[in-house]
Amino acid sequence: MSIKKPSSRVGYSVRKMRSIRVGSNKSKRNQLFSLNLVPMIDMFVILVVFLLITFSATGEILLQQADIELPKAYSGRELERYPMIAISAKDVVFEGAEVIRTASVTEQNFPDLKVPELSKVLKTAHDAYQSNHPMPNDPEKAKKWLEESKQIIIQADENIDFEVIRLVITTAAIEGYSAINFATLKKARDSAPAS
Amino acid sequence: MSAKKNPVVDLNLVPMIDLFIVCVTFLLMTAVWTQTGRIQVDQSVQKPQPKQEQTEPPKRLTIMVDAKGYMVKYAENQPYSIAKAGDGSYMPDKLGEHLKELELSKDQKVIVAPDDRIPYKDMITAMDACMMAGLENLVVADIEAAKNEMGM
Repeated sequence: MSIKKPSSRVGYSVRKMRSIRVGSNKSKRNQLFSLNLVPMIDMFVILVVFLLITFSATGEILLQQADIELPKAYSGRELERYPMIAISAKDVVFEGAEVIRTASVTEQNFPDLKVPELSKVLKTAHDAYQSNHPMPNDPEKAKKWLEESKQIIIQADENIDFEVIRLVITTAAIEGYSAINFATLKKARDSAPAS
Repeated sequence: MSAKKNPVVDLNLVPMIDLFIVCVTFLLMTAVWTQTGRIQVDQSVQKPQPKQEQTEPPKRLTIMVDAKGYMVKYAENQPYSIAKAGDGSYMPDKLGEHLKELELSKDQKVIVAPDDRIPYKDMITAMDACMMAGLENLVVADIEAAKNEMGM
């Protein structure tokens, strides 16, 4: 029984891959076999669709620092892009620029609860926001503008003492950032305690 | 002249597979694996309001977090203590249950006052318990100030 040449099918173009010489009897006949690419493409399509659906997030809003372990919480609203203060065990960072050592942020060093170094950068940022985004005339839009200009994100390591947090948020509130948003990692609702 | 030879229709799938591989790699690299959220507190300094006709003052709810556990003080009620568990962990579930028992309105202002030496995560846990109990109007305060205001 002769070996029939298979008909044209998907994946036929990989002709060179399919033709190998088999057998030890030095037969000159080639045995053909083909690589069926259809399941592979199916798998890719499913994978792409899955990834698009699962991670079609609004982008990585929070640039998480490697040395910061965020606290976990069940509740919490969606994070939005606002100015960010990151507090690690080492230093306090505002928008990526180091401001002060965390160890020196104590009430003993700053009895008036205002950290001057942080205050300076926050004031600059707040003024820059206000000059770049002038207050709209429409009262509704002006209200929204005012709300937006007060927002700030605090991204702190979970083991930082509350004293540091207190000094940082007090300084932020003095400089006009009174709506403080503590960044958290969302815990799955399924594991929430029964109430 | 009728050609008996069938034209071989050969769909070249290699560029398509290349595209898929690039697409999958791109999506995997740009994927956001951690879900972040935010707990908002309002730290605005309230200006003293001019004296108007005497109305009933708002009932204050304060949650103090210290090394012993939680202490909840609502209006004129006696302070309610929730001690730490045997393993030294806080009991946010019990705090949530107590807050639900108080049957407070959603707009009730909650003052969370942790001790200076309390880790940040324990403050977030207490706030999370408040939010789980439906109380979202949160304020952070110094524990000493909170104690003074309560005359403790």
